[in-house]
Amino acid sequence: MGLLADGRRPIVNSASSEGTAIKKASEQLNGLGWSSIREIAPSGWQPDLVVTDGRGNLICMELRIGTAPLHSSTISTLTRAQADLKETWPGRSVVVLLTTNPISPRLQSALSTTGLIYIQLPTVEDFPRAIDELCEALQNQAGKGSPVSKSGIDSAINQAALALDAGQWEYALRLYRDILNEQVVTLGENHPSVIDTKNRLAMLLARTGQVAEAQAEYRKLLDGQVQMFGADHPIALETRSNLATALAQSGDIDSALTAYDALLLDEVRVLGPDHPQTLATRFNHAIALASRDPGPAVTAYRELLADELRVLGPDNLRTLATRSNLAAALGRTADFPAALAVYSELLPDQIRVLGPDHPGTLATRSNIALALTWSGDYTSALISFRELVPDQIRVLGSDHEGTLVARVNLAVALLRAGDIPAALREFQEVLADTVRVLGSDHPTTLDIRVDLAATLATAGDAEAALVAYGEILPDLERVLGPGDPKVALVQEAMASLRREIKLRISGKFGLT
Amino acid sequence: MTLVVSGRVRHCQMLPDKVHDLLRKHLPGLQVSGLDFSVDLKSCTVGFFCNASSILDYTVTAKAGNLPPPALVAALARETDGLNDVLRKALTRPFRRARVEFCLIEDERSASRLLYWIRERPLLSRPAKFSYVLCFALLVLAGVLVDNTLHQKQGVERSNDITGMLLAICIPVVLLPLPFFFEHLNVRGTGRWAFSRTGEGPS
Repeated sequence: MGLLADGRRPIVNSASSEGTAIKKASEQLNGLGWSSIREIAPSGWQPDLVVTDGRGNLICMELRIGTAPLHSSTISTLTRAQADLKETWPGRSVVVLLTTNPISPRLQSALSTTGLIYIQLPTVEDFPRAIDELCEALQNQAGKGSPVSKSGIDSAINQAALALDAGQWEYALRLYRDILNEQVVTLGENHPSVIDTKNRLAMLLARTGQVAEAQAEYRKLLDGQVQMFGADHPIALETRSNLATALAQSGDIDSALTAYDALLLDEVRVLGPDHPQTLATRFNHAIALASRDPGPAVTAYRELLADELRVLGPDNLRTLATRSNLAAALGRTADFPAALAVYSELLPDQIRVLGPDHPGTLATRSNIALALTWSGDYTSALISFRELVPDQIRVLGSDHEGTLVARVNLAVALLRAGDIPAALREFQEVLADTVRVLGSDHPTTLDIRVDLAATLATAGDAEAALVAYGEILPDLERVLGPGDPKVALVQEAMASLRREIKLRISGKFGLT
Repeated sequence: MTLVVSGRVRHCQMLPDKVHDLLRKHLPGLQVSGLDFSVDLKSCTVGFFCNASSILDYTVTAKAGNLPPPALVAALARETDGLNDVLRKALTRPFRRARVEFCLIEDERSASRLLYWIRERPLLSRPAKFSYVLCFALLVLAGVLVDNTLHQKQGVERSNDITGMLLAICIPVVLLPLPFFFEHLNVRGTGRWAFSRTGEGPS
């Protein structure tokens, strides 16, 4: 009495061969200019391999070696991780499954909506070629794989995932339409994955600017689901949630809030108040509220958090996201001590659950440093920023916008702490990098130039500040338009500086 | 610590709709969602996916995320235990018994396996195999003894000796494996959890 159900011995050790494959893949990627990051666990899953190219591109890779058909739970885990990275990673992120396990046609069809990249190969010896082709496809911004791909990276499913990831909405829309036709044949018209693809098509319509068509698509989808499953089926409720989110994303917050309110009533009635889908709708409702007024959103987040802690537990990703959003909403109401308290409690939990290098964890560290700056605790803020910036350079790369913004915030903290020479130096260095990376007309670049001019003014060098403002003003008017509030602020600052210089000259020569 | 149960049932060839109908008879709350369909049990949610025409994959996750790990393991093991029985009964068809191919509880983050399901197979257990060896040895002994007796002078006494020897040896030969056979009838198709010492398990 001790054999496995399929007659094999209880312990089948494929870990050593997987370990060797992971080591080889890591070395190969390092040779291609990608560096490994260890401490990222998207959605609580620890990938076999996490690498970044230092330009904001991230690959999370799962290697599976075996001969049994791949279990569907692998796809579920990777899909959740993909969704987490999509929300949190500030750049391109792809989740890749590299496997020798056969993938059944049904599973292939089901995973074609997930946005995962999967490469199924006959032997481990084929992995290096697949990794080469993957890197080539990722670096090819057109989202088109190698024309001589033998690994399957150029399959329609992988191309759609890459196009989606690269923000090529038109191309992704075309590919997903083809995928949908194949999925309907394999899985049937009303399969959850087919419905996911239809939802994705509607989302892509919205992204390509066809907002009315997207909403019409959601409504059509909803009508079909109501007819097929009934109005109270979770799939129909989920589509209503997607429709409300589409309304919110199109800027129609009032309609979105009305849709969320009606949906919540039905979800509480059908699924119960503690169902994860009901809690997810409350989360989306709070986001929509926050985009209009952070005050009521704080109350909504607090009520939601109490329920999520009770139902989902403190380590659930949704609970962590609610805590982060609550802190952000508190920050927007200028209640910085409360925001700081929430962020400070959140950080150790994020480090434990998501890992210290997870973008969500880094974002929280950045927010803590910002909250410290706004609370007036400049010493702690400076320490936090000085610890954060090297980590961001290591994880995101020195040229990533997130890293540049953290450096700007460090300069602001230096300025507020009164260390004007250091602030000036930091602003000048980050400005040079920002111009090189983002271009001289990028809004972040313009903001840094304005901050630099303001720092010069604070340092007492009114003439230099006036010159700097004078150089920025035409660029601001050209990029943002003459009516933009920032243009008015710069004009006001220039007028003030001119008065100051005039007064100083008058004082010097004893004029009145 | 995110603990999940992954399992797989092999059954006779069926379309996903048929699998859905059969499962629905035993799991009334079953509905179309997730990868194929899912059901909410007392403390867990089970997602099903018809991976191939004769393979049903399932994943069991705890509903409450705030349980301490020991309670979580207990809840998952208990619910999966019942689920395996239900799946076996629901998908067994005439002449083709459904069986749990594998089932394991693992930590999703580290992919470390905690417990795995082993099917009870009393007829292939070590004591059973020892009894088969013993039976064989007894049969050989009976053969040798009968052969020796056959070299003696023919008569009623010799026939009685042979009959006595055969009865004395063959009855234990038949009786020795019987407990294992009855155990097999008793536990047929069921299984139990085993602790994975290395954190690994069936791939």
